[in-house]
Amino acid sequence: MAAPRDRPGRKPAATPWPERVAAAIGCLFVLGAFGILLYRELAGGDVPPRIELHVEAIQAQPSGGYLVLIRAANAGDRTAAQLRVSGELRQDGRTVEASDTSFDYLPGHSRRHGGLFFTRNPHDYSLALRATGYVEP
Amino acid sequence: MSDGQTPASSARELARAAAGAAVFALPMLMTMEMWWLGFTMDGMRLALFLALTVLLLAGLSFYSGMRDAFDWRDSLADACTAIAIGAAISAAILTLFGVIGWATDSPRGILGKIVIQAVPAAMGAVLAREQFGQQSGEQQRRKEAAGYFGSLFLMGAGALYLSFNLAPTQEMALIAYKMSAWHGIGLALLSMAALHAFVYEVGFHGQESREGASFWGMFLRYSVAGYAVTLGVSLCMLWAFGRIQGMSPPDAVMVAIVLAFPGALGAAVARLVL
Repeated sequence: MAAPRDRPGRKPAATPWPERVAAAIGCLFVLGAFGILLYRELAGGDVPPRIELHVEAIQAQPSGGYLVLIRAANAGDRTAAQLRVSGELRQDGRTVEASDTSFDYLPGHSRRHGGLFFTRNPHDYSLALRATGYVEP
Repeated sequence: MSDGQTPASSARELARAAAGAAVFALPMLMTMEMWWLGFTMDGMRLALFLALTVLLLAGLSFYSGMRDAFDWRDSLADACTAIAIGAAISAAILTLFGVIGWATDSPRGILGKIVIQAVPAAMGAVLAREQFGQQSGEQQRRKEAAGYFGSLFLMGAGALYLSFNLAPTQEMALIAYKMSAWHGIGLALLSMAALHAFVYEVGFHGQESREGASFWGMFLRYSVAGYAVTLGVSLCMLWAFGRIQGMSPPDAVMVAIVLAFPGALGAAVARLVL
């Protein structure tokens, strides 16, 4: 870098404060991102998907039938792609009706929402939710 | 060297960079594979990717410049400014789109989504000055003196930008599976020919003159080498995005050749306009 433009004694114009602030924010963002990514990588572990399913609400549909709103949470670290979830209405240990749905992606430590439709009223049966499978993205 | 840099004119400069970031990043911001990459991409690779991006932006800033950068420290500061603008624009637009679930996504997932989009956005921020602003004679001089490796660097940056939102899509592998080895060789030759023709033959504005050098000399020195850089950039991106994971080497090379086709056009355009 011995170009003539760098000759000593020629002070560059002072950087205006908006640019200095922006540069500082960018620098913090980059370092912060490194910190979070490396921390997750080194300390976070690599736990496979741990799926927890909850019923959020059961609604009667105007056209007949019922909708069960469900929430799927992944407590693991890895992402579950094409996560399939099934719900069964049971009575006396027998399955009376089953429905299923799938989530494109459920990343680690994240939640997604969906729903299952039934023709019978889920309130009259015991409702069992189960994650049946996924693929690695 | 820019004189008369007041806070007001500097704020206008930042606004121009933000506009450039939005223009360059929108195709990526509206691609779902790019959202998914945010959480499916390996953390180490994402960190490495971000680090390389900072270096790439510093290099771009040196040649085009959000302002006239004099040395590597200024270029690095410019790179950080561009990242800040790129990340802010990406976060704002993804939030408006409802793609970032601030309540339902993990912090790591949100960060990933923003980081991956901040790369093209920051490139746009750097290039905004180049394309929308005025160039100083100093920058012009520096680019003309960029030399051989500078040219290759700029071609690599162009290749990266154009193939960035294609690399994570499934179509790359799908196209590669549909092609035979002969198709692959043909596509590679076509890519090199297109790269060469764009820069030297078809007469776009900014066309380079061969200045008496022989056709084959220029072809080997710039177009073949530029294509090699493009192929390298493609492979790196496919690796970083996990798209060639578990593929046999010949398959991976074929996917890289597919991706290097748009990449080569991007390299040619970069060579013309940067």
